[in-house]
Amino acid sequence: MTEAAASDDFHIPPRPPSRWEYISNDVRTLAVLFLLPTIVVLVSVVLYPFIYALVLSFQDKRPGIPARFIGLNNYIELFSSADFLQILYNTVYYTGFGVLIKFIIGLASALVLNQPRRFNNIYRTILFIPWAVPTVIASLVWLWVYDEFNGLLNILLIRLGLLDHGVAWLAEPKYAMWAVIAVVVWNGTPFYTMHFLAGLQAIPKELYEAAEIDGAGQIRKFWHITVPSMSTVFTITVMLSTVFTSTSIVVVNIMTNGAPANLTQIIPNESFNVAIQASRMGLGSAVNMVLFPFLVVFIVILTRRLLRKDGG
Amino acid sequence: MQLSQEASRRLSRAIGGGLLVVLILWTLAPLFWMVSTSLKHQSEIFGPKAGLLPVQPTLENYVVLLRETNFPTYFRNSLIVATATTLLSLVIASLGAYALTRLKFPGRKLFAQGLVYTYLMPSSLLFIPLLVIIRSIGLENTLEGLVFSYLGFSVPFCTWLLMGYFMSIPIELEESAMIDGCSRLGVLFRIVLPLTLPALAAVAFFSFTLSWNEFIYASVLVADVDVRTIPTGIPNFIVEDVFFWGPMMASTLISAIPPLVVYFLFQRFLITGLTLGAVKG
Amino acid sequence: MTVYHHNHDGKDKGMTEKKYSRRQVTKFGAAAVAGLSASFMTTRRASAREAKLVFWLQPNFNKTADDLLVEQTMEYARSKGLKDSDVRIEKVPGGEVAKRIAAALEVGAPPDVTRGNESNIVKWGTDGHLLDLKPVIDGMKAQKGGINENSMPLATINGGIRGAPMGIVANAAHVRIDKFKEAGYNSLPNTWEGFIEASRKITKPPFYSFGMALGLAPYDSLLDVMSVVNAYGGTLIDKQNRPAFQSDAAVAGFKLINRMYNEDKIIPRGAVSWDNSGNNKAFQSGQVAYVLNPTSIYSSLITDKSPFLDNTVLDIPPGGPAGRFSTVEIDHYCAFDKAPDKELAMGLIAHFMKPENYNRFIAEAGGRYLPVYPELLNDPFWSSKPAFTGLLAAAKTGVSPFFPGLLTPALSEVVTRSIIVEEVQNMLIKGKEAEKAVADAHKTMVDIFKRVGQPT
Repeated sequence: MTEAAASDDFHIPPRPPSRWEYISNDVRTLAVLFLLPTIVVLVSVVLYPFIYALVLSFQDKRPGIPARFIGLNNYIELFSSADFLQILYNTVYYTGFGVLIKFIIGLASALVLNQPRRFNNIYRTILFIPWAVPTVIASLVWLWVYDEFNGLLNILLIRLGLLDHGVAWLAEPKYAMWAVIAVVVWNGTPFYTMHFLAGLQAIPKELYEAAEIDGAGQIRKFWHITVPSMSTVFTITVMLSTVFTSTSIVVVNIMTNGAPANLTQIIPNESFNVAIQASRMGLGSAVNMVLFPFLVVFIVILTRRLLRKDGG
Repeated sequence: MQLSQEASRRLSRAIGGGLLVVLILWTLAPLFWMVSTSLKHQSEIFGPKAGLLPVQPTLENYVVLLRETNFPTYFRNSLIVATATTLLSLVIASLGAYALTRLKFPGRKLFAQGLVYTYLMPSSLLFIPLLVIIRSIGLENTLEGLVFSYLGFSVPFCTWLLMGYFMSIPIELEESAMIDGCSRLGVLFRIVLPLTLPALAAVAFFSFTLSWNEFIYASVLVADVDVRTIPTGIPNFIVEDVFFWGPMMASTLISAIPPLVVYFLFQRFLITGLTLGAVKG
Repeated sequence: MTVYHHNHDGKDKGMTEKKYSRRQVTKFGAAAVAGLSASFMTTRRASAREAKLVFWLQPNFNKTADDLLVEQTMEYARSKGLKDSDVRIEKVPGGEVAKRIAAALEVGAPPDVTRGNESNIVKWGTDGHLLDLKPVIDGMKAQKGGINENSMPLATINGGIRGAPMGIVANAAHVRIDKFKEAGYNSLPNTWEGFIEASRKITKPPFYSFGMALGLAPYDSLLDVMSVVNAYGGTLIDKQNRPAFQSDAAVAGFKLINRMYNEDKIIPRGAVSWDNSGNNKAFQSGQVAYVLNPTSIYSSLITDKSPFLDNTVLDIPPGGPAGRFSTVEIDHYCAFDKAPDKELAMGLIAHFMKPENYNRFIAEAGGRYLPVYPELLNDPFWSSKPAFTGLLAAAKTGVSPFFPGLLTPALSEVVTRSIIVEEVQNMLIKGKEAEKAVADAHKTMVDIFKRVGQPT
């Protein structure tokens, strides 16, 4: 290939390849060169910190003083605590429903936006806005929407005559987790909408036309054409979103910090509290590490499907 | 009962229209509240007078925000960090994604899979080790340090998305270019990247918003007011006792503008870009 | 897809391909680098240790007081021959201190001087990060009238004095006296039982009587819970600093809290999800008639020219069988041992604590702090507002929330992990029996004390 590259030139007579040409056409060297920046970044700001954190989880470590190795004690402490099991359950619940609802609303939005309609551009833009709002800010805005005394939600419900006086949405055990999930959904749905809309537009029109000739209705077309064609998009979106959702502390941290009675506490925020507020960095790392195997299993299952598809 | 094609289509459009109204209300309600609050006097924000719309709209909160707080600095910093992260990620991720999709080398699949696992690292876990690293290379308390750390989540994300797009480009195009004497880099810059321009726009948009949003790293890696970004600057307004909903809502409104501008700039490409990636050839 | 081909300027094929690609790489790279460096040029590079003196200023809820501290810092630096650029003052909000110090200590770059509450001082002091401030304290003691000796024992850790008391924080009952008068009371009732009586008349949702801090953010909530438990004679630890929470008094206190929240409903439901500012906001926006808090609330009412200012009085919280008293804490300045010039760091604290400087600060802070120099209470400032009478009374009856023991590292963990408040929430939200909640809280305390290696 090196030869071919150098000799196919009309205007300049062939000459032996320069070092640059040699490198740029040697696949392995080139691969290393191309991947070098990625490797540098990932090793220094992801891999090394991760190993550091893993080691921390087996240590008793307070900021600024040397660590002491304590084996599995941090993990033993965690799993013997009923509160921690509650937090683990909350995290799964929060992530599961957060992702599920985002998926449903995102798919609904994409289907609606994919229908021919006037001013579709405007609607699309509106539905994408929440993605542009930083999560910190979305959380603060919603905190204010939920305010027990002067929040939008209570004002509206009182005016509609559904409530006598404000409800503390973030404090009632029945509603707190759902109030938090609503914010996650509001902020994160456009990510799904965008991907799904793209996926829908990639489905060849002919498939639908053929189905229509066969007399398929909207619902059958959805199940028999749309869903199967979108499976890759579904997988990728769900995977990315699951990770983002389950590891982000912002919404819970700003809105409830776990209240009431740890019913909204999730692993990343608990880890932050333990490691930082209580200065127990080892235990804090262990808290987060517990989430890791769950995500790994989940991702292995998803990507295996993806790779198998690619192979076929 | 079997509806005719036309009737069934009309029905689904009607349902879609109704759904759209609900979705738009749901999306806009909190934003409406944010804008409305930002235009109210303090006395209208609280107490029995609190209503849906400002009775006497005022720009007071915006004046306070821009004159008496450091918000303009935070805004500038966020802009710099997000732009720099986006540009760097684009370069690094294009190179990486190209290598992973087009160059055959041992361990390629493994590398590509490993990339996915890098998202698993919650920033709440990484920030202390990261601080050690950033400090050891002398970037603590600088915007460069932030940019470097943000590459940690933005590069794998962008690479992963770009890999999808690259796969959608028929390899024949490149092969014929190479037969014509084009080098690998030539192929990347002359054939692949121009074809993936929409994808690059999509990736740039995500990278920009992710960095614009980032909270934890920003709150530990930089300290000085001069180098703070919006997500860490705004919670500062709740200095425990001072409640500040008016200016805070004003700040949230302004903070949402740059990602929206980026979105408008790129929206022509966004869906096309994602479409290319979605089908995978 | 061909649509996008126009982006590919299919120029003259005759050009040397290799050169072209190299040039393109260079061009692209140069553009990226230029773009980036141009944007960075506009920002100041601020590396922590270029400065000779680093002070983390925790905002005092009052801009003038903050500005005064900045001014005093610069004044001190200049007197020591430092250039303005040698000094770095960072404003770190109270809620961020734990996070920022943890990270800073881990990389060995704490500030030279900052303020700390009792829990901070114990944590940082026990871990050996703080300088011995004996010379500063000796200087303070030598002032006319000396210093309030009650503020001293806490800061003595590992045989040194790790903090210089810089302000007495009296947790005063902030009372909307107009609301109590409407209900037929001329002052805050003496006992919790009486308070509940009054509160049931005052509470008309959305207006509630008691803005009790019950959130999971460390500190304010614990103080509110302990103000009830203390009134019934319960304490967190005993004289030997051993866990002593398990008591009938604590159970009685818990039951009372449960009654106020779940039966009489005189506390806003949202209180369990408040952060540390929740009770402040509720009081300042006129939604509750009573909160227990440091007088930062009162000084904010002054600064904001609040309509509620004239109807707000400060008082001692209601009492119980064990008496009626308030809680008092001490904030300290501390200096970190990583400070490159230790004399310079300690000198800054001494400068802040010079009576003339300090008195200005105390006055600007508008009642947030009571002075650690008893002599300064004679300042006309303290008779300028009638409400201060109640504050001074609260300060006089004040005991430490950790009475009769002292804050220790293990107890500090109990505080920062909201162990007690979590059990209160379990009782309020999940219906756990008060007896069980108290027993569980005690058990968790004992576990922590054992692990840290403190006597139980």
